Formats: sequence, structure tokens, C-alpha cells
Amino acid sequence: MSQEQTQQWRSSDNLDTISLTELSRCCGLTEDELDDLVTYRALLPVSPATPERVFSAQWVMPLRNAAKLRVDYDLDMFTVAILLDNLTRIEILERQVHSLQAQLPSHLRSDLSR
Amino acid sequence: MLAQRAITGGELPFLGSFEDIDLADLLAALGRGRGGTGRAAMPVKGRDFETGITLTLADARQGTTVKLNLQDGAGERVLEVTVPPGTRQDQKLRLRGKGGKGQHGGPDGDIYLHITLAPHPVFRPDGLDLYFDLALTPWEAALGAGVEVPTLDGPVLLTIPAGTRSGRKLRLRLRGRGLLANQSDIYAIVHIDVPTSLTESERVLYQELARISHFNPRATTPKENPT
Repeated sequence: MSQEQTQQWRSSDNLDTISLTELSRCCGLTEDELDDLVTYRALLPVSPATPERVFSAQWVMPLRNAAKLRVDYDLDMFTVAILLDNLTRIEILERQVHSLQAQLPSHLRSDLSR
Repeated sequence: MLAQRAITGGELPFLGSFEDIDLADLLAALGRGRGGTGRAAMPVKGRDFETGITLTLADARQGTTVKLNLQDGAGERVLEVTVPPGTRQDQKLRLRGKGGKGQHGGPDGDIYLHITLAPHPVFRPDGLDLYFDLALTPWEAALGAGVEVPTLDGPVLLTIPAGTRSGRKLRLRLRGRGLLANQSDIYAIVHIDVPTSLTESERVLYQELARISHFNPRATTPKENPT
């Protein structure tokens, strides 16, 4: 049994960034395929002007999900781009719902769940 | 064995008959046919593991140690990992290279950890901030007051400004602990409550207040058009 150190964890959210190579390693898409998604504007680098591509780590999970669905349903990259866009929107909306629920007084939240 | 003839680089086997053919030899022969001296196995990345854990709010903020049970072809293994302080609801953490072993020189897989926070009886987390309901009496809200409110470090006194309305968000700045000390606020969501039953003297006082007060909370509500 081994104990891992705290600093080895990487957060998959907007507080961390990830290189194109590492993103490719995480999601199972090639760097060329990720470049396609950038071309389709479904995947946005942190700073599009710089030659080396760096991305927010919040792309990791939606890209992994999109890559899985791509394999399952034999999707082309343009469809993956549309899928990624929708998966990202869902994640943003889920975060917003959670944030609003936290700010809503308890008596109103229980009314909503009925 | 492929016995019919010797196979040289670039040459595909001539198969006069399918009898006595060993599949391994056939594949090896095909590999020699493509690469001349045999084809190196492709590097394959090790398996990624995705797992979830539920943490208490206190553990998520202070950090904690958890044991992950990972099952793969090599059997079950238990990995003890330290979850860093300041994890949030729905956060995904990645532990690089601690998943399944890579093959033929491929990298080891990763572990993805999905964080869920167990419901807390008082606080509702939003990112690193915490929200809770603060019930006030009508007179505390109108006159202002000092009320004791909870924090993760114990109760503190919160000053309620006079004229506080229901739904107002009052912030206790930087009440996070340790590493979160400069990143985390606590918000009290004000809810003005009224007594469901009144004593006679309370009723008299409320009636007197109703008589002398000019306050009309519906004064700005647009009048309905009767037509």
C-alpha cells in the first residue's frame, strides 16, 4: 500500500491548466483531433494567440466523456465538437443550479423538491 | 509451423494448405512482411480508473486521507491517498500515473476522483463559500441586532444592520480555516420569521404598530389594469 502526496493531485477545473499533450493523454484523442476541435471552436485554449496550446483543466472531464461516446457510437470529429459543446453547457448549467440551490433558503428549496 | 517455404523480409507466406498452420507463426510472418524484421508492439496506456468519494464538509475543507479500492486485471489493490484541503462539491481530481500499468512502454493510467460532499445540517457549500439560513424576528430585522451565528470554528457574533430585509445576504468575511483562510466566506441568508401565536400584550403592540406605521411593502407594486 502506498500513500500519495497531496501535491500530486491535479484539479480538473478552471483553477488549473493543462497542455495539449497532457490533454490528449487524458482523453484518448490525438493532438490532431484536439486541434480539429479547436478549429471547430468547440475547444478553446486559454490564450489562442500563443503558439503552444494550453487549456483550462475543466475540459478534461467533458472531453473524456465525449471521447467515450465517440468510440461507443463511432462519431466523426464534427459530431464530437457538437457533443462537447453540449456536454460543456450541461456542466456549466449544473454548476449554476447547484450554486443557486445553495443560496436559496431551505424553506424554498423544499418547496421546489415537491 | 509454416513449413512450406522460408519467409524472407517483405514476402508474404505462400499457403498451399491451411493444415498445420500455427496462428502465432502466421501473425509473426505477417509482421515480418510489413516491417522486415518483425513489428514492435504498440505502446498502450494503462487503464484509467474513475471513482467517487463522499466527504464531510469538514474533511473536504481540512483535507483527509481515503482508501481507494482499485480492481483491474492484476487483481484488487488498495491505494491510500491524501485528498488536499479545499476540495469542493463535484470537483474532479486526477492522480497522474497511478492507474493501471501501461504496456509495451505506454504510460500508466490515471485515477479520476469525483468529490461529493455529504449534506451538512447547517451549511450549504457553493464552491469554497458556505451558505446558511438565518431566521430573524421582525424587530431584530427592523431595529438591528447582534445575533450569534454558527461557523465551522464555533459561533460568532454577527451584527444585523437596522432595516434588514428578508432574503438579504450577510457576509462573514474570510471565515475559512487554515489554507482556506483567505478564500472562503460564509453567507447568512436572512429569513424574517413571525410568531404563529401572539400573547395579548404582543397583539396590542402589533396593532399599535399597524396603526402608527406608514410602511407599505406593496407601495411599489404596479397596480393591476382592471381592463
